[in-house]
Amino acid sequence: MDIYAVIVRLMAESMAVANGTLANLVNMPANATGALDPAITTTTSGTVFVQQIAGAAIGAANILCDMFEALF
Amino acid sequence: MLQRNTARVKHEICPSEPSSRSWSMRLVVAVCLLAMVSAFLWPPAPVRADTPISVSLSGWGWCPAYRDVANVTMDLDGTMIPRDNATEVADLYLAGTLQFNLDETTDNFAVELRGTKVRSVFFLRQVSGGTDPVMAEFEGTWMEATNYVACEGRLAIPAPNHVAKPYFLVLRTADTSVPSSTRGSWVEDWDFIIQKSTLAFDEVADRISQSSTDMKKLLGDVLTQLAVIFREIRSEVTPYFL
Repeated sequence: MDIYAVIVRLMAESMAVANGTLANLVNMPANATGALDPAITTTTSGTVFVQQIAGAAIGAANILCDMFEALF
Repeated sequence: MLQRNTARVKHEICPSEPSSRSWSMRLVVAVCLLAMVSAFLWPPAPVRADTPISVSLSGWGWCPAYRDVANVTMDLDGTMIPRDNATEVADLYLAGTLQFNLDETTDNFAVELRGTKVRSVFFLRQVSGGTDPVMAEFEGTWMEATNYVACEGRLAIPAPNHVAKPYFLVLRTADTSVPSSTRGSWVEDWDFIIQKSTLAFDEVADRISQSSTDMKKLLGDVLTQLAVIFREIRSEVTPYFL
C-alpha cells in the first residue's frame, strides 16, 4: 500500500466518521435536494449543538465588547 | 613684406588646421555611422510572441443548492501573453464554457477569464455585471512542460432568493501527466515543492476517480449536512454573523 492509497483511505474513513456524527445532528430525508431545502432540519442533539456554538459566538462578542469598552 | 612671406611659407609647409566646427561635424558623422553599424551587428532583444492555448479541465464541484457532488468539465481557449521584461511572467486570457453535470440536471456557464501565470502558479478571474452577472475565480498550478493544469475555483451566479448561488470546483487536465523537476536554487526548490504537491493531488484524484461512486455520495452528504449546521448557526446569530 503506497502513500496515496493511505491518503485516500484516511480521507474515506474520515468522511465516514463525519457522516455518522452529522447524521446524529441533522435530519436529512432521502429525497432532500440540497442544503437550501427546508425539509432538512436539525435533530434535538443538533439544535443543542447549534445553540452551544451560537452561545459561544455571542459570548466571544461580549468579551470583545468588554475589551473595547475598557480600552477606549 | 617679410611677415607676409613668412606667413605664406608657413601655410605651404603646414596646411591650416581644421576649425572646431568641422571637428564636431566629423564627430557627429562618426557616431551616426557607428550607430548604424551596431544596429546590424548587435543581436536584437528576443521578441516573445503571444501563444495560443487550449485547455480541457475536468473534475468535481458542489453547490449548496444540490445535494450531490457533480462532474464538472471546463473547456477554455485563449492566449498566453508573455511580458517583455520578465520571462517568468505571462498574462492569460481564456474564454470557454463550464458544465456542472448532475444526474438530474446540467448547469452551463460561459466564462471569460483573465489572469497571470508566474512560473508554475496562476490565477484567473472574472467579474462581470449586466443582466447575467458572474463572478469566477480560479487558482492553481500550470506546468508548461506538459501543459498540466490543476486548480480550485469558485463560481457565484445570481439566484432568485439569494444574493448569489455559489459553486465550489476542483479541476485538472486529467489526460496529461505532471512533469518532473529537480532541486537546486531557491526557485528550483520551490518549483520542486509545487511539482511534488501537484503530483500528490493528481494521483489521489486519479485513485478517487477510479473508485466507486460511494465516496462522491458520502462527500456530498457531509457537505450538505455541514451547510445545514452552518445555516442554523447563522439563523441564531444574525444579522451580524456572516
